[in-house]
Amino acid sequence: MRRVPTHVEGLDDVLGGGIPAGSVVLVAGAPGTMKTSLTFSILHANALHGEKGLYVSLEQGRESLLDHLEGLGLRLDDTGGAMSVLDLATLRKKLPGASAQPWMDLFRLYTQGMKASFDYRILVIDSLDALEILAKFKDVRRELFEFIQWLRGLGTTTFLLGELPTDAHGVSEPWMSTFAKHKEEYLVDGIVHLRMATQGQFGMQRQLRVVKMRGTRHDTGYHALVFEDGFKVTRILA
Amino acid sequence: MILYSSLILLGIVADAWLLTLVALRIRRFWTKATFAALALSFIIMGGSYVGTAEGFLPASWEGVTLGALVLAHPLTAILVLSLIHGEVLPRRRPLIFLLLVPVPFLAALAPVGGWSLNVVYAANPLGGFLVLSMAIALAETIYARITSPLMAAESFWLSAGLVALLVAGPIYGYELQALSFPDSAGSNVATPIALGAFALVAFHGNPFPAAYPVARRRWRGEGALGDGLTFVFDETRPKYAGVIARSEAGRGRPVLILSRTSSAGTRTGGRPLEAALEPTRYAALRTLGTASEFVTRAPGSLVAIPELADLSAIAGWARTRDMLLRMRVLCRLAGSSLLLTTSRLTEAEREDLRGLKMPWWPLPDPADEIEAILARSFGTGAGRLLESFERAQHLARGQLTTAHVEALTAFLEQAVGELAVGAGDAKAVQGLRDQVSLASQALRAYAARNPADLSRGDWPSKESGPADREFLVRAADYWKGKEMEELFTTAQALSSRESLYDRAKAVFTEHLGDAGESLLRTELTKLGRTPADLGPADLSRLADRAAVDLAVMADVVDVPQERDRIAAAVESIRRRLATLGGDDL
Repeated sequence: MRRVPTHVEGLDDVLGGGIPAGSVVLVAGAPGTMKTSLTFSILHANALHGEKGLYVSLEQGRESLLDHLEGLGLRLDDTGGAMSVLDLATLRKKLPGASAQPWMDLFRLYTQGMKASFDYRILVIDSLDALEILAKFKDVRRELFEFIQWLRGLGTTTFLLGELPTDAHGVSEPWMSTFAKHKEEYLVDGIVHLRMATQGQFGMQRQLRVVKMRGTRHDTGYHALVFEDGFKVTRILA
Repeated sequence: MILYSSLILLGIVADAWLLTLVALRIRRFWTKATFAALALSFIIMGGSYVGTAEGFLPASWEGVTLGALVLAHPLTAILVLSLIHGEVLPRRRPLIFLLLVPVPFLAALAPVGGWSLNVVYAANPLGGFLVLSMAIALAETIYARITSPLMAAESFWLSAGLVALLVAGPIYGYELQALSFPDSAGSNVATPIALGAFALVAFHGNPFPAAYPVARRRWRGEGALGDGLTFVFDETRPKYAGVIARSEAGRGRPVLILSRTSSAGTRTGGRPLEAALEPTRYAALRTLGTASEFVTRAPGSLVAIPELADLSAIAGWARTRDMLLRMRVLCRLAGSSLLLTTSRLTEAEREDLRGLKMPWWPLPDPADEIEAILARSFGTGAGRLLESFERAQHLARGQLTTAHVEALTAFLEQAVGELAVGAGDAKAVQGLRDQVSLASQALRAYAARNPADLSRGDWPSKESGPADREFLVRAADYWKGKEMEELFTTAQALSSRESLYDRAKAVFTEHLGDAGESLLRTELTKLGRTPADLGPADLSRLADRAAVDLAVMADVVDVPQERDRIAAAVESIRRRLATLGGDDL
């Protein structure tokens, strides 16, 4: 089985070498858990290794997104054209009658067109929640099922970013092992959960857990997610 | 000497740069070849002169300098002549040969006659030849200035280049002799000025971009238009010019169509080569250059300029007329044909063109003739039938040509076929079917007539038809007019089976997939229209607004090829909608 490495120190060991190619992976977490940065970093690192990637931003405009990620040392120009950012957030603002537009159809039009002309292998959708709101799903579970099936048909390794709520202390915990609002966890091939955990009396730590990854024997425990000149996944030290 | 040598060296660098520029950018082979020969002569002349003067090369190299200098003179004359008569000169090689023949003899006789670089312009056979070469070039330039509206501006630049060569060559040489410094003579500092002026003229006459064929033998097939002649099609819209150009290309004849609406693409077998007339100050000169290059490479070919009026509007009639006269000579020499139309020319231009005594073929508008043929069978309802057909084919008024005849007969047969399914009177339907069959035969017979035949003037619209009208009354009486009316109604129903909204939706979804319909509805809402009341007049506005609004779809993509693809799709939507609305794009 071909695997797509994340190039995140420690994470590929947790995943047994990377994510199985063609998987649809939900990256779920509360705000501030670095979902965008982590997935962008995976896309960026793969692009540096010649694997083309497409980042679809539905919430944050291109300029703002790239400014934010350049602060982490992730420059789009460094990839030599192997990575593309599709700025649907700006399209939402500029396209006339945006609220009435068929966003799911537009999304498919772009991603299929880009697949033909750019032949990307990794796709990040930021975020699934924004797409759900724009697409105005009527039968959410059925339409999500069809959407994820369609993503599999694209033949790319896809990361879906999902928002989870934050509790009153800023700490996110999955409700009763639920990582998605509409049971997407049953539909996707993999789930990576990101959370903020308390450390001692005052400290907070970002943690990562591979909840599910089909076709992979992986460590199911939480690990510390650290950013020091790049992401690292390490054991949690008490 | 160092200063003079430095100037010559700078000149060599400039000459080399100009040579590279011309080699890369000029599309006319003959101009490029003569320019390259002259530039190389100048470079060799300058290089060997500096080498011997500064002691880098032995004194024996003075012979090389002298040879290059002698060769440069007739080459200058040949280049100037080719820039003025470029379209004709390659066909007159003996003249060029005459100019070059003396060069080896004079070079060989130079040591015997004691003709050295110091006395190169003295009163001897060598000096006489050099002065004669320059005089030929200068005289031809002055003559072109006086007689040719097309070359008047260009001859100024040619004269400037020649005068610069004369001042820095012979005149400077005489001055040095008068001042007793004959050793300093032998090269020319003005070569970059002259080459620059010649290059400028070459660029002004540079052919338009097109996929020119490789040089080939003369085409000797049988064409509908005679070889070596210029034909004028006197028609209101340039329809027959297009028909005949495609027909000739179909026979294997090389054909070039020069028009404003052409796009320079690759030529495929059986199709004409197209070149787009660019609206520049030098459009007439470039048109001549384009035709010249094509005809030189493909003798026996056909050059069509169906929209001569556009060229006249861009370049002025005087230049256009001069260009036509030159092109006529060119085609005669190359055994090619030139085809022009009078479409949209002013009456004065048309009369002036007529005064040039070219074969003049008055031709009808096929749309009028087709309507006249239909009128014989269907009376005043012919207009309604034609209108239904044009709507069904998304044709704008006036676009109908003989190429649509087969589609029109199929449309009529389909209408009768549909009528037969619902009508009760089989005899009446059979009568209509016969009538459609007669009309189809007449239409096909008309479409098969060639322009030479039609130019005699016996057009369907001119035929008197009292007998037909009698026949029509009898047919209408027989069918009581009912079935005829039903035929018209059926034809209208055929054309309007798809609403305008459906056709616009088809355009949007073809380019934008499932998102297309919703985007179309948004645009309609902005226009204040609903799918039901969308009319042809709205389509042009819809096309323009959709193009502006959808342009943002390309802006959000950072992959150039995908951005270009989306932009092309948006432009295609605009064009297709405009065509649906009847705009002639």
